[in-house]
Amino acid sequence: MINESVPERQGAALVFLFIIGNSFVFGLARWAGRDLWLSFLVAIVLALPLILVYGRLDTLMHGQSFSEGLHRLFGKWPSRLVALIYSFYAWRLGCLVTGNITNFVQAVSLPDTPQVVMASAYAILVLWAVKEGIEVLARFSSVMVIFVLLILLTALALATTEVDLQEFFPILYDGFWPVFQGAFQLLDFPFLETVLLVGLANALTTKKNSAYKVLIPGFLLAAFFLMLVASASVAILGEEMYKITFFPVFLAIARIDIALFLTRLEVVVGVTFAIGGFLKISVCLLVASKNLAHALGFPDYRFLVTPLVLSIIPGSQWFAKSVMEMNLGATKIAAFTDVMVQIVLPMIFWGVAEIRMSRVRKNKAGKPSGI
Amino acid sequence: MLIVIVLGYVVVGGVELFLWKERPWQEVLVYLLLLSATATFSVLLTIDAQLPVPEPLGTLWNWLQKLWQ
Amino acid sequence: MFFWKKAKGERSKAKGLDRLSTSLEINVKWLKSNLFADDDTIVYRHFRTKEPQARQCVLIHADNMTKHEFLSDYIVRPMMSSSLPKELQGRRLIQHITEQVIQSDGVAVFTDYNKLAEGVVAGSGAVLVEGCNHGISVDAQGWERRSVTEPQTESVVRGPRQGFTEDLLVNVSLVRRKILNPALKVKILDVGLQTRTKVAIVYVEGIASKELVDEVFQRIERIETDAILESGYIEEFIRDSPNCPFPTIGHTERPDGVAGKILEGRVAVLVDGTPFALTMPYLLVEAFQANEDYYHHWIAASFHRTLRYISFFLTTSTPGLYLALVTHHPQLIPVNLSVSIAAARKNVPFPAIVEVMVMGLVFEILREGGVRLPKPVGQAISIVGAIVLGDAAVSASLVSAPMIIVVGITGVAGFVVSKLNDTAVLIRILLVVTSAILGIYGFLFGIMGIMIQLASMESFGVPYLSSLTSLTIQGSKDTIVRLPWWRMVLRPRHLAAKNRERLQRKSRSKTK
Repeated sequence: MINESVPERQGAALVFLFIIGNSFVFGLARWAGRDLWLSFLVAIVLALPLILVYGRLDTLMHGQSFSEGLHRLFGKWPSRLVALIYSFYAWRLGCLVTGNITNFVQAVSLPDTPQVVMASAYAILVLWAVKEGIEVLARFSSVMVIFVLLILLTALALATTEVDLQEFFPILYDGFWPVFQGAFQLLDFPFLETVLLVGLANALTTKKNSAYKVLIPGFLLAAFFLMLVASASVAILGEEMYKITFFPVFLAIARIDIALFLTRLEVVVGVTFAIGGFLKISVCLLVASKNLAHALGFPDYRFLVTPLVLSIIPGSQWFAKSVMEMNLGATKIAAFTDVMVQIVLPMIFWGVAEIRMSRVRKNKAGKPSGI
Repeated sequence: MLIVIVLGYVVVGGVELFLWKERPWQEVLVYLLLLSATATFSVLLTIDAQLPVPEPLGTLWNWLQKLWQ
Repeated sequence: MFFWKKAKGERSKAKGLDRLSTSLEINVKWLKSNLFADDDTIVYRHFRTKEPQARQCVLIHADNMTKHEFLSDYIVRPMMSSSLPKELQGRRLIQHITEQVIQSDGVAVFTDYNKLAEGVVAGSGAVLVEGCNHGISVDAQGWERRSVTEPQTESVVRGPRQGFTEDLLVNVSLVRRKILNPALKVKILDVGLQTRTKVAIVYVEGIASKELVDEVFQRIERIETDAILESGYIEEFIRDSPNCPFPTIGHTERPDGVAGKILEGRVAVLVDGTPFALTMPYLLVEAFQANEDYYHHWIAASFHRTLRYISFFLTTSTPGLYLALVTHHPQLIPVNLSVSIAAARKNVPFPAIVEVMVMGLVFEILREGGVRLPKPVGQAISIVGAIVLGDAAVSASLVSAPMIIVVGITGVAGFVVSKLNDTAVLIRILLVVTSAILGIYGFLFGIMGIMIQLASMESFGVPYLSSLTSLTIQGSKDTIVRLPWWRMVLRPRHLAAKNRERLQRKSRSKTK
């Protein structure tokens, strides 16, 4: 019947929700304090070339999945090793996000519910979604993105009553270093986590070059919104408050109080967090299962989903034991693995792919696509 | 509690294997291995909630620092 | 083994006998003793043609399935008054009769009993002539029909007042009168081993994709069942996601509805014996559309659409949200409201979940009781339900007053989206359960689960959410809002992929 590949806009919606995901309730770029909007700009400028590289990789591997592309590039065993690394990275990220959400929910609204219950509920949903595959996730996010955008825009609009622009001055009082620190942290989390979508964008698109149309708008929109939300939080709470609270955005929205009726809006933040987080966990687990399947040499990934998804229940508690540690874990400066996975390895793939591609072009002029 | 957890995993694995349309032995083997690993993981965490996260890169880093000095 | 042999033997014997004999007497006898044995409604009308070649003839038809005047005026009378040429015999005589004597448009010649019997039970008259081993069947269907009236289930304030009837050909003609274009194709199949129900597949060639039409054909041809008594049978046999309560095939009683759907590239299936036509593929947005949306001003129509979406949200979510807020997050309710709810619930002995479940159940019982009762009694039921049960339950402190409001909102909002009423009940129960476990997050999990299910569904290869997920203006022109007709330039992407333009350039430029 009609061959349904996910159109670019659905892909962009997926990327948007993936990046917004669990990140926006945290104090992003908290080192930068009142200059965090500068951090955001720097991070966007730094991330954009890398995201372009991700897009280029997708275009080069057009029509193939990430693991197939790796196989073409490096041969059997190295590609399996790389797939294993990515699988682990994705799994760890999934665990972290789950930990974040369960912690958040327990901290702000359901103090008596054990985290395991929440994690298990997530696991069930994620299990289902991952088994359905990337198309379903993209459709899901293109419906949800409307709600998330509406919620965020409404919250931001209402928050203008509380905003105090004086909080942003003086600019660059502490110099450039905190700004860069904040920017690097933003790169690691959440901007360059987009690397996980490199393999999936192939499933998202049928047309050549549309990987850019998926990744770039999604990324820019998400980054822009994160910047708005974080800046608004600083403007509402003030720098000091922003730095010391765990969930500054939550706190900032909680300040909104219009005519004693529009209060308690922070619950919608929780809603957004839960939706975005769900999508992020699902994408992580999807990537983890796909890459693990490739590493073990299986063509289909679906049979691996159940054990992997179930393992995020203990994993979420393992990686994020308390709100404190979770915050450190989520916002620490780029760890070695993250740099490897987000920057070094994609660069290597890109280089190798370009070289191979040009050779193919020389050998068989006129034969398109493939590495 | 432990028994409940293990039983839960056994039930999940059993039901899911039952639902598979075909069962190539490699897939079943990998599936069972992963599931039992997950179960072990859960059990370990239930016994000791403060289970340390291994940091191979951290040890490597420390070792390198020592070497530097 | 033995039985099988016997059955086979009987069949071959029947095969040897199933051709008409030249002897009229044998034919009639055989019919009376075999195919039409024990059937008293079959009429055998014997008559003779005029000299010089006077032949004994018989007209066989099923009583009340045919028009009597028609049979006597156009078959019996001409045959009795005509004199057949002497030299014609057998096959050529029959041909002469069909060409020169019988004055009817639907005439066919047959040679075996089964054809005769099929025709007779379907309402044709069969003419047998002495000395010929051929018979003539003449279309003379005529039975009691309900007239074309306004449909009960989909009445409109503005719009045509025609509804389908139980007669397939009348229904097809109603659709054809909407689309006076030879591209409108109607294919008729027989489905049901016992009932042999006529099923018409209607589509517009050039708009509906070939693959879709073929798929519908294949799925219907694959049905091998005894009976098709209503289009619901077919729906259940050919639909996607058969275990999901969301409908993946639509049904309508309105010819204008069917015409609108097939002009967008869908396929309609009309079934003899029921006024409900099926349309496929069916997407979620269609459940929120009404014919009238397209006849009213577009702003009004969009407003009504939006109301329907809101109502669907209310009818599915109110009890769950109420439960989540009252039991898990009382701090989220504004203080005054929270206090009054708490005051109302103070004397109620049951936990909120029991209240919600019991009241939901009572409401469903009242509704189910009211649906199929005669109208006066139905009203009595709703009065008893609303006033007596509701009011008495509150004053007896069995149920809190806010709960009555919740049930009331749920119920009334449910009637707005009547196409999803049964689905809404199930979703409501699901959301109540999840909210009871995890509060507002449980509620959210329920919603996300439903969204995953919806996102994974397809109807005849078209994603179930397709217009809602397009994220473009042209793609969502007919979803939550209805844009004016002069803005609906393209047909839906998934339905009419090859022939998308429905608004010609001239009218587009005129609007500017």
